Amino acid sequence: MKNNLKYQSFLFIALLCLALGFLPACKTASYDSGKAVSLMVDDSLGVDSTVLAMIEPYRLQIDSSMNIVIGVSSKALEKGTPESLLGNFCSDMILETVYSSFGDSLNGLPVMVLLNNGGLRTSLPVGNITISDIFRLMPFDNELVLIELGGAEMKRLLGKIAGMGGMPVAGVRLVLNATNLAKASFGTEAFDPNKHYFLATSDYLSNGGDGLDFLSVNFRYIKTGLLIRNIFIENIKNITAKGKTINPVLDGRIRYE
Amino acid sequence: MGGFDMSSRRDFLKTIFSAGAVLATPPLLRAGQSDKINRLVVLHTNDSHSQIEPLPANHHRFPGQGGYAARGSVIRKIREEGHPVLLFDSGDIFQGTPYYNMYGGEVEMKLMSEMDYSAACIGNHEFDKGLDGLASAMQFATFPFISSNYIFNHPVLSKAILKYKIFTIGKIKVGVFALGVKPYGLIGKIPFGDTEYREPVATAAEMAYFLKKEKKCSIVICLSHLGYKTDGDYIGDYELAKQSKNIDLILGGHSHTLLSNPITVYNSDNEEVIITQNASAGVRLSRIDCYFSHAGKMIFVDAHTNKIFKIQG
Repeated sequence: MKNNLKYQSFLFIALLCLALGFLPACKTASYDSGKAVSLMVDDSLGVDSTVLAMIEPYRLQIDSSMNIVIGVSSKALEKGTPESLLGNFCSDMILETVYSSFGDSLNGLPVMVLLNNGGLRTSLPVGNITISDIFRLMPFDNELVLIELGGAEMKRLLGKIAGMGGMPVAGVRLVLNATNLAKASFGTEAFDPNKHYFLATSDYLSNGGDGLDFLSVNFRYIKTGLLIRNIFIENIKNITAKGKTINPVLDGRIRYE
Repeated sequence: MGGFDMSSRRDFLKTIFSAGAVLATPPLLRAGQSDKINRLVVLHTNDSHSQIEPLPANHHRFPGQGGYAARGSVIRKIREEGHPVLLFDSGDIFQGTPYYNMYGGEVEMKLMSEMDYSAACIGNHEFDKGLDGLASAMQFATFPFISSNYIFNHPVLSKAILKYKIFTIGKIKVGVFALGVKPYGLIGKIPFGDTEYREPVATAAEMAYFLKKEKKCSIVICLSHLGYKTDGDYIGDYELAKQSKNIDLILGGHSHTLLSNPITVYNSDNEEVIITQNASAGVRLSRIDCYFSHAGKMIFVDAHTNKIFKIQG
């Protein structure tokens, strides 16, 4: 049918060219109806058996290591601003690991965990959580880094978080006024621009991702060697081992005045 | 053209196409060899993000769609039509599923080679396992990567990644160059390493002039990983097309924009530039059929409406 149309178009053009006297313009051309579209890719045209066979050994290996349930969530966790269940859950897990594994390196300085919503790639469902879910949430091989910042850089960072309308954080409480920072506190202490602080974040953000270039001005930069994804997996396993479910709350850590 | 201006010629052909489409007489004329030489099918994917398997059946936007095996089948069917095909990818092939975490791009490269890709552009996520990671994945590719504005100093990548490529199909010369997004704030400094970045608009002007005017290509294709619309100081394809000269087709990526039908933009010479992009995860594949006369004229046509996008010559 398609071919018929093609030949008909060709013939029709040729005849019309002759009739209208445009022979010089048309005799070298070969025109017919064509396609310029975005085609749906699904299995309605079948699947390529060679490609499928090539995928199969990889798929089997991935399935056996990925479809393992490591925890149960009592609710669906979505990301969002100013704070979110997913953002709070993820940054709290990082804070837990910072204190349990690197507490001695912090010189008693306050710690803020910072992740980026763009880096949390999907939500987590209610019910069973598999390793595969965590890979989808955090596909990047981002490493946890600890950065000792001066008060000026920390202040700039808090301002940036306010400007973004909030980002996933732990260890800090922020009050926003529109896109400005109104108040910040670490535990019971108000933010002091003359003090030093530790920032626990991903190597992606520390390398200037999301426009945080100023983090290169710092007093100490500790590479932990831990992948953030693995921190999530280990923390969820620990929650499960304690007989608990995943159940984060919105606690007003970032709120508007 | 003998006093036959571009727009009236366009209307004329449009009339013919709509008329031709409703005619139901049997074919009297068989297309000769020249038909195969004169038609070129350009196929394009972008931002597949390691979606080797189809998306889950409960996906909110593209349930059960995509997957390399389905893509392979669509491409095979198109190749069976017998026209020459060029198959491109506009980057972010990597990252998004455990296939990349576990195999570092090996699976994507092997499957794209099996589908006989012609070339691919470097997206920002191609850097996710560093320059060595990219080099190691590329060992599994039988097709070249092109980047005209990332200048690699890595010992393997500086040789392997091309600045442009010209495909010669019969009498048609197809010039292809590729643009990567501004890395600052998107690609980590460590994975980007000592790679140099050049501003895409000037690079595009230089490459397109070189391919169209100096190398006398019949058609110039830009593989772009810039994104469709300009975002802050990250220029997009739409703006690039408006400022450009000598580019015919921009096969886009990065912003995951779904352009169900290609967009036509007028460039600084008031000539048409066609832009395509196919969302992400390999759920769509764009197809542009280009026709060339023996005199080197070229036309693009929309399959659904028979609307002519562009006549050049």
